[in-house]
Amino acid sequence: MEEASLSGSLLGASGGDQADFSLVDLVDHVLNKGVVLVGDATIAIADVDLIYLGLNILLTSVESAREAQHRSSSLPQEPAR
Amino acid sequence: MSKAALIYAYCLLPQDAALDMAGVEPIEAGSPLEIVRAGRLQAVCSQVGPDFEERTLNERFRDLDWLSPRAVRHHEVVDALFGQCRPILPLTFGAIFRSRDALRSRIERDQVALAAALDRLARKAEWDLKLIREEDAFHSHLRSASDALRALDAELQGKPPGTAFMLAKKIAALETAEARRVSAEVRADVHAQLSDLASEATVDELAPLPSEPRTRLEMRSAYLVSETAAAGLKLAVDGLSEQYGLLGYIFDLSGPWPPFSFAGRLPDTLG
Repeated sequence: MEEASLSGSLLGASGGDQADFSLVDLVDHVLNKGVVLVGDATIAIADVDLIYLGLNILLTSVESAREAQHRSSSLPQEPAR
Repeated sequence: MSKAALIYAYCLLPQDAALDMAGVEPIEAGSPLEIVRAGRLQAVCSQVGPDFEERTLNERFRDLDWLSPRAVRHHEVVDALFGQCRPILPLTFGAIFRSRDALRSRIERDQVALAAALDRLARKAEWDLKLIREEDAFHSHLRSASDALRALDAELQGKPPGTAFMLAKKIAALETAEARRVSAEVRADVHAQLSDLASEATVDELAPLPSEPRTRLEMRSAYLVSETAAAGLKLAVDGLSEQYGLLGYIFDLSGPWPPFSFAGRLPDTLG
C-alpha cells in the first residue's frame, strides 16, 4: 500500500537518507504552517495543536536518531529538498 | 447528512497565474485538481470523499498511517505549483469546504488580506535552517576556550576526593552557565546574519525534544528570501558553518520551499 510505505519512510528508524529528512520537514510545514482557512461551511479538525505536537515529537525523535548517524556530513553544496 | 463531495483546498494564487496541473496528483486519486476563482485570487482544490467528513476526519487525523501520506500529497501539490508560480499562498492541511461556492465566498470575504499576503510573497521563497550542536565537540571547545574552566580543571588535579568533588561540582556549574551563554550568542548571531538577507525571518519554538546525548537541535528558523538573494544566503551559511564548525555546530539549510512559514494569519474576526 502506498500509505504504508510512505508512513514507513517517515517513521522508520533505520536506513534514513536525505530524502527521509525532507519528508519530516514537509509534514511539519503542512500541519503547522500555512494559512488556516476556515469559515462557516468548513470541516473542523479538533485538537490540531495537540496532534501536531505529538506528531512533531515522534518525527523529531526519528530525525535526531538519523542526524546522529549522519553527524559527519557537512552542509550540502545544493541544499536538500 | 449530506453526501455531496467535499472540496479540499491546497493553496491560493493570483487570478492571472497560468498553471499546468497535468500530472500533479491530488490528495485523493480520481479527483483531479481544479481551480475555483474568487475575486482577485484563484484556489487550487480537488474533491475529496467521506474520509474528509468531519467525524471521520477527526478520527483518522490521529492515525499517522492515514495522515502522513495525505500531508505529503498536500505538500507535493503546493510544491509543484510553487515551481510554476510565485507568489503562492500555501494553506495548512485540512481546508475543507462543503461546496465550491463555500470556498469561493470564504476567499472573497477575506480577499484583501489574502491578496496582501500574496503581494508580500512575490518572487520569494522560504529557506529553513536547522542549527545542530554536537555535544562532544561543543563541550570540548568550551573547556579549552574558557580560562576559568581551564584553571579549575588544573586545580582539580591531585586533589583529595572531598575537595575534588566540590571542585567538580563547581566546574559543572560553570560549564553549564558558559554553555548557555555561548549557545545564546551563537543562535543570536546566526539568526541576525541570516535575517539581514531575508525580507522576513522567524524562529520556531522547539517542541520538547527526546533525550539525545550526542547532538542537540539548537535552533530551527526560517527565512523568506528573494530569488536574487538566495545565493547570498547559501554563502552566508557556508561562512557561518566555517566560523562555528569548530564549536561543534552543524548547519542544515534546506530550500527553496513554498513559503508555508510566512503565509501569515488571517485576522481573527475572519478566521
